[in-house]
Amino acid sequence: MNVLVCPPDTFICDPFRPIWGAGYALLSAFLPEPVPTVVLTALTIVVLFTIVAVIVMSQTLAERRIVGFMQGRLGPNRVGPQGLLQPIADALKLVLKEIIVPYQADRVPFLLAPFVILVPSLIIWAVIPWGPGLSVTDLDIGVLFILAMGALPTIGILMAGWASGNKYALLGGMRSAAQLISYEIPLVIIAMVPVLLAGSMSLRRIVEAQTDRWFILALPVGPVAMLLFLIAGIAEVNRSPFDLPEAESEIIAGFHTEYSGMAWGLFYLAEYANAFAVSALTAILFFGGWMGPLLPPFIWFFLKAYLGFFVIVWIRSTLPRMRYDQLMQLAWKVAIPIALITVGVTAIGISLFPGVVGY
Amino acid sequence: MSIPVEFLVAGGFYTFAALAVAGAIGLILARRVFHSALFLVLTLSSVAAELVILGADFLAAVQVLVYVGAIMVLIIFGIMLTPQQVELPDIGGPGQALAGVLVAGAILIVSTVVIATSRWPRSTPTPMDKSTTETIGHGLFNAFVLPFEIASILLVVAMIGAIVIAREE
Repeated sequence: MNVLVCPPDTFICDPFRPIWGAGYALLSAFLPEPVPTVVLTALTIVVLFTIVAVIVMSQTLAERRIVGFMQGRLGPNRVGPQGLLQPIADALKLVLKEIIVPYQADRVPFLLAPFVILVPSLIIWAVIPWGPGLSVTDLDIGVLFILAMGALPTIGILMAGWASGNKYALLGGMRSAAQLISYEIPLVIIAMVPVLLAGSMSLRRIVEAQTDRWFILALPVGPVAMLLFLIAGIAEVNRSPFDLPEAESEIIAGFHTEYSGMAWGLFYLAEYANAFAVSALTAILFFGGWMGPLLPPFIWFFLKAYLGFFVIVWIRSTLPRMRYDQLMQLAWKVAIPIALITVGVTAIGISLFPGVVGY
Repeated sequence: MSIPVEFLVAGGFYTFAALAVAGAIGLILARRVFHSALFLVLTLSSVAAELVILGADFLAAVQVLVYVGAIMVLIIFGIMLTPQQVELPDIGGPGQALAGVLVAGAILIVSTVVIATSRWPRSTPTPMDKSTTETIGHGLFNAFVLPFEIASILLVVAMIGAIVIAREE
């Protein structure tokens, strides 16, 4: 099922290394080491963040159109053909707006908070493999690195909530802290299932371990682990039906109530980058990442990741927001026990039936 | 001319060391408890960055995950329940300040002397072909399995104790 059509070392499979090599050869002709490496690294970061920003723009439009379709209305379709230029109009509007710092706000943490939230959600893209050779770096501790970076934005949300000097922002920040702490536990535990199955924490090796069989098909643990990972992931990025930190009917907009202009825009960017990261991670950990027949690897990766994002939007437009006690019960009484049992079953299965369950 | 890699590594190391110390100083000097907590986040993150530079990537990720992601969030969560505008009052008069300077100065002198005169063991790092995660895992589950399990039992006992205390009125 998962035949690698393009051999490694061809340009379509691995465009990153030849481009880097050419750039390096060009720069090192004029400049001494380490200038070429530093310049190329900086360029890579800029290109990567630009790609993520473009993905986020496509997502905002896709989400509004899909939700509109599911709710029997049109959604934005005025700017450009089918509303395709809407994200650019939105971005321009955000850049032009004034950033208002409330009188009661604690200025430095207030302005720092959007960056504390945005930076980790961009950093994780450095280890996500888009194709066989298409990741900036492949860390040995890839999964752990992503989970650690995913834990950082909580600090930013708390900063925003506290520094705004607004009780609704404070309530949103507190809700968010409780929710993220609760759902981080099942997320970290369940991420161990693909790690156990692949025998590595490197994302690239996890994908390569799925050459013969995607981990979703690693019965009986695969489907359970996938569902739990997706649920905990959606809760971790504050998407509906777990969007209590910004429940607009109860606490206006939660932690970003007082933010305007591009300061708010950074929250928005981080939220969509995180939502896409959850769908990309689900694709990598359970659906074979870039593996797939006929099409080039990165196309497969994008297809799977966007499909995951579609499911997240679908869930959003279908389910009502959970009540706070339901949210906590789901995390502590359902998700964590299931996660522990699943990891236990996986470990026992791998040690008793090596080759059948695991690698 | 080219800049040697060692120079860059050392530069990064000392930059983050300075950041960690700055965070620790800010933690003490900040007038608001919330700011102190944020400075502590800076210190802990800088220590994680130091670990990355030293090649202990597993420890760095765990440092961020446990200290910054969990413990600091709980601390800030507790602080958020305190009123925002509270600032620490100026404590004591000149007598207390003098006593403080004396005690702190004595500790500084003693610790400086101890650090300067001690014979520190030097370890010669050996390059590993395995990843740090693998080495740590083998260590924890083979040579050091007993201390590891005892530490786990201690944590479980502490957790149960906390639950019991929290349940009482």
